[in-house]
Amino acid sequence: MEINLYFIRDHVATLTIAGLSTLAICAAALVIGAAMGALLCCMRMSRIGALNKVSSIVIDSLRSIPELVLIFWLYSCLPLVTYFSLTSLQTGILSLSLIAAAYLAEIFRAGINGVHVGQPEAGFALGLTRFQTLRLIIAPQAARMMISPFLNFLCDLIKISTLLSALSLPELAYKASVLASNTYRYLEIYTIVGAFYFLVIFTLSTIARSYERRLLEIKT
Amino acid sequence: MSALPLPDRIRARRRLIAGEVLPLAVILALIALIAVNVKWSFIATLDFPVVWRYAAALWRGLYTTLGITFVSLALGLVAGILLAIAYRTGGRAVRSLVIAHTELWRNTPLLIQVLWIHFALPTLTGVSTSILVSGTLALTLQASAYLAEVVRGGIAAVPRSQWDAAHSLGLGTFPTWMRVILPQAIKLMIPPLVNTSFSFFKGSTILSIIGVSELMKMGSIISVHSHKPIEIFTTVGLIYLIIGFIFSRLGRLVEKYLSN
Repeated sequence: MEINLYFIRDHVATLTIAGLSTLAICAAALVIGAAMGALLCCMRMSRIGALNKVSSIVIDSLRSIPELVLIFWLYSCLPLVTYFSLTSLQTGILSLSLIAAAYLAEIFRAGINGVHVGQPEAGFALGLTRFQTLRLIIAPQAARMMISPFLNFLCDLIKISTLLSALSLPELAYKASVLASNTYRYLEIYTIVGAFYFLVIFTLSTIARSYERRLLEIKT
Repeated sequence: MSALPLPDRIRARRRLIAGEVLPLAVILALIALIAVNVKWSFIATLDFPVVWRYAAALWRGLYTTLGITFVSLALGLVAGILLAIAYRTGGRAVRSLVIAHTELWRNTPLLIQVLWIHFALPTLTGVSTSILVSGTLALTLQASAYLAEVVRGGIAAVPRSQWDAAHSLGLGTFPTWMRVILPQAIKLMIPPLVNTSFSFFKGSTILSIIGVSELMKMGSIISVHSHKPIEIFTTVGLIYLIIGFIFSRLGRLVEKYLSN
């Protein structure tokens, strides 16, 4: 079977739109997940024992349940058990957001805990309130430490978003499989799509790695 | 806290209020929202014992999941060790090949890899593989990339002075590896190895998309057959959670054992 690249040219528009919708779904999940993750992180660092325990159970379960199981559970069980009626797009974004919340909560926590204890103490000693200390002293330092784990998680999130094809969402992996099974051009389509994912994820992980290296050089 | 002077105590309480009450309020509001929207009468009719009727099928699914995970990790570990050795001992060309391999398999989604191997590779090679073989092959290749990185990192983390010490004691290449470097490197490799193993256990669910009858696929077949999706999917989720819990406990135990 000869490889037909002209064929790809006819479907570039479809694949580009699908690729952009993958990125849009990831962005939406990231925004919602960051809000939920911040909440989980607050709970995880709280001095109230019950909040702490509950959030650690939630985070651990969301991290250890396979993503596909979560997606299927939300898709097929949530509408039966509750009065929430979500479209499959909303279900997909919700499941990615929940996964993002759990991972981001841990990233936020690691970033905040990574700031030296002396820093907030100095803030309190200067008479800053708890919120001011968080905003002016902890956040800028923690943010720098969170950048590369955050980018690494973004790579994982893009990989996980391919699983939404199980809900027939019009993202890249689904569009590719539909196009491939309609035209039998599996090799061309999956190679092109794989190359797209590789470019995006490789770029992100390279930035993450070089930033991490720079941070290490500054520290030592 | 009672030892503090009064204004400080008030300030401490205010801090407590600002930091704790806001998340608490949001959580309570969320719980209330969910509680109002849950169909409690429907939940009362759930029939979890029905799962026992399908226990044999679920066992088979779990067995397949564990088998696929074990085989792909074992083969991946062997390939990963070979890749790490090639990276350390090979020339420039070999090194860049190893890097290309690891980057390629680490930076693409597993689903695309599975689909590529199952549907696209046969048009290149002319040999079509069964879903089980394609799935295991994809997992193995990805595992080889991740594990090569783990092995390489473990060896690289052994301090340079250990090599120098072994050399100055007159040890040959083989005893240096077996008695000095590897015992220390393996210790460093165990925690990431456990993490990687668990993520491959989770990742094996992706093979259900091409139809491999592992635990997740069995769950969906049974839930269609029995019209009890909630009971079945919840049980499947719990099985994964329990095994995840065992993995993380095991990892912590091994880590503790190694640090002594």
